[in-house]
Amino acid sequence: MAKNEELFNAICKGQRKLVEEIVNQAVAGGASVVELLNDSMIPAMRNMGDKFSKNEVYVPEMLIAARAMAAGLKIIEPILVSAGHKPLAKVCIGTVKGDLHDIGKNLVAMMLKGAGYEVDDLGVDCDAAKFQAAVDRGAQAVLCSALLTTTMPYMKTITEALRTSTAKVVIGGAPVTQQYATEIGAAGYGADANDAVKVIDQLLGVRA
Amino acid sequence: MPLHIQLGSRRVSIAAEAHPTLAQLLERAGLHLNLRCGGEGICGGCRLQLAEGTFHVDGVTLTLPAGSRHEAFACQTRVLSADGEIIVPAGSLLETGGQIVSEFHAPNANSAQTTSATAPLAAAVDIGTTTVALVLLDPATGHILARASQYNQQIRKADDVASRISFCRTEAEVRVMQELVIGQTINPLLAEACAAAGVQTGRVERLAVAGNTVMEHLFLGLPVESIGRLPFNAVRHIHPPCEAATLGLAMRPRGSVDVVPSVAGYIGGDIVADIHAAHLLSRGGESVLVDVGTNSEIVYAQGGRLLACATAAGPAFEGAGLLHGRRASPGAIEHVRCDTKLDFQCDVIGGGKADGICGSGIIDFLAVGFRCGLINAHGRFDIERLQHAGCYAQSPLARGSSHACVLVPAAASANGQAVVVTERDIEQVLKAKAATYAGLKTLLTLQGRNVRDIPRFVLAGGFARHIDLANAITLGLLPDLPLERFEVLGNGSLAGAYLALTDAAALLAMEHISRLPQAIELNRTQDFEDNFIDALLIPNLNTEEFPSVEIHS
Repeated sequence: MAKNEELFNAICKGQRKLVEEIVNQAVAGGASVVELLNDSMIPAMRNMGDKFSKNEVYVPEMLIAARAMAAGLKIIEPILVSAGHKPLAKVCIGTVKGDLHDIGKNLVAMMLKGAGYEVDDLGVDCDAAKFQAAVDRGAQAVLCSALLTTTMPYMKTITEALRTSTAKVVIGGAPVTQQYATEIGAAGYGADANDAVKVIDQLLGVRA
Repeated sequence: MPLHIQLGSRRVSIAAEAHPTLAQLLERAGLHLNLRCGGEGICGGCRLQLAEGTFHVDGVTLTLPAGSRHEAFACQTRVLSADGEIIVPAGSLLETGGQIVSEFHAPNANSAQTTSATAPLAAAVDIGTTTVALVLLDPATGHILARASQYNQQIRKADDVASRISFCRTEAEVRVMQELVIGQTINPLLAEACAAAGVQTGRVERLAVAGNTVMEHLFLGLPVESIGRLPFNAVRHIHPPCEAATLGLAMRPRGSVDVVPSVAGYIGGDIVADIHAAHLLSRGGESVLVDVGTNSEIVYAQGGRLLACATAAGPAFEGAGLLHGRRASPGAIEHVRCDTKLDFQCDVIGGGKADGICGSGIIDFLAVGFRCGLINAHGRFDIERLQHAGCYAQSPLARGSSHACVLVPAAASANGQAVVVTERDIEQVLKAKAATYAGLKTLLTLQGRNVRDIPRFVLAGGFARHIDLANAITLGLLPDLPLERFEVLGNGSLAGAYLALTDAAALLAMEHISRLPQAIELNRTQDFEDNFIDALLIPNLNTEEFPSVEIHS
């Protein structure tokens, strides 16, 4: 199946209800969900991510598009699972202990799903043990988010706790910098949602 | 070793030692830079240019020949050579002389009654994160003798609440903050107000303060670390009265000091004071109170019940984080009008030429721009129209560039640089307004209420006094209610402190209020993120919530 232009555009424009309609119709009509995902949905989110990197779209449009993407994914996810579809890799994500600000984290999670990853979303206020448990469940990368300068120092605790593990720790959030990531020994730093996906692609050796 | 500093056309030379950072050296010379991140090298507020000399920058030693222009952060740079030269842009200096609201409505506050020459006096203080306002009054009559206000001097160390918490890791650092707010801020205000009224500071026998939970803690010298992290617990919420001398206040040493009680780590005494001053409980019925700021606090009152939440709007409404944003002080565009030809008319605080735009100005710009079709619902410009009207500019960003609208051309501005608004700026404002509106809607939805059914809507805080309500509705910051349902309270925090001194029952009433609110954690509420995303559009994705706003396709 070639790219479904209608679905691609609906995701880019963030038309959640239209996305649901198109996906439901396609599924009912016997379309391949893997093709829907790979040929229309993932390219739509990658397209938004690239535009975001070039300042052609901003966070509000990204959030609206990601929400529409999520609505579409929700419909096809169970079908994908039962069809034995393999994701690019498995990663986990959460806001660090003490931090409840999760809108940025949710956008990164959505972008990763939109890029074809399986995302173990640990939610907010995650301590090192929670990230460790996700690694034990198979996460190959650990993404930590902090919005406050008061909660950011906990990222060091996480990198230290996961030092012996093979999982790559990637950090991000408003006060976080590449310098801080280097200082605490994190494997990577995501300056924004799209950058986070690229860093994960690179660290896990996945070709976009 | 002298350090030569170029500040616009001014030149200053100071003796420099090798060890402190440039930010510390400049501070000693009375040049306070914007260190909103607490001097951690994160925010870039203290950016300056190194022109000549040997410097230690970010762990690297650099020797620069005369005439160099090397950008560096003052908080991360040390001077090593025998002398050096640096250029400090005006934008890196803390602005002073802003509009600080000390007006409020309270019985007798504006009475013409006079005060006897021996009557004991009192001072009411609102400790804001950014500004501190004080009124000197006769507690027996309520008569106000003098008013004074200035920036909270803690901003020398850190700009916002979170960075102040980060700064206060040790007891000694808490003491530094306490000294800055009392010794460097409140005491000079006491002296100024007393001098204006022609009285000795020793006649001030009582003082009452209200502020957010962190400001009240730092005023009392209490640790704040636990307020910055889940579960955001404060040391205490009800503060016993204490003696002025124990805090180092320059008033009668045995005088008593009261602090308005707070509700939670992020719902402080300022909100309790707002609730009391706005009679949210005593007038009964159903009402909403919103204090718009870097953190927007929202209170819902209904038949003796109170619900409160706080939402992180970010500093866009205070002009921070916008390319040409600035605080509301002389030189800031505070109101914007425009016709269909994009001929922008700007009101500038102080009446002179503009060099930036403050929160009320950016709200107007977005609302009028949306109305005339220049800005679409996603906050993007109609580029062709901008170009046709000759207002188009491109503004460089770290990566790529952002489309921008020229509001004041270079020739007409105060500093020879055009004042522009970029799409990136609009994004910041949309996030701030969305956080506020989404917080309001989420809180009311939890109560099964619709924002459009609220009969009384109180706007507290200094910022709300300056905004155009109709434009704030068009933007989708405030709900679409008939304008007569809005009430602008003014500085409710200062009003609460004033009432604590003039009304014997007020402190007890505020203590009662502080125990009532049920604090709602928005991030734990399912609908908040959805409401936030809906509210990122102008005025909202759900246009039916804004029937009075004309929507262009």
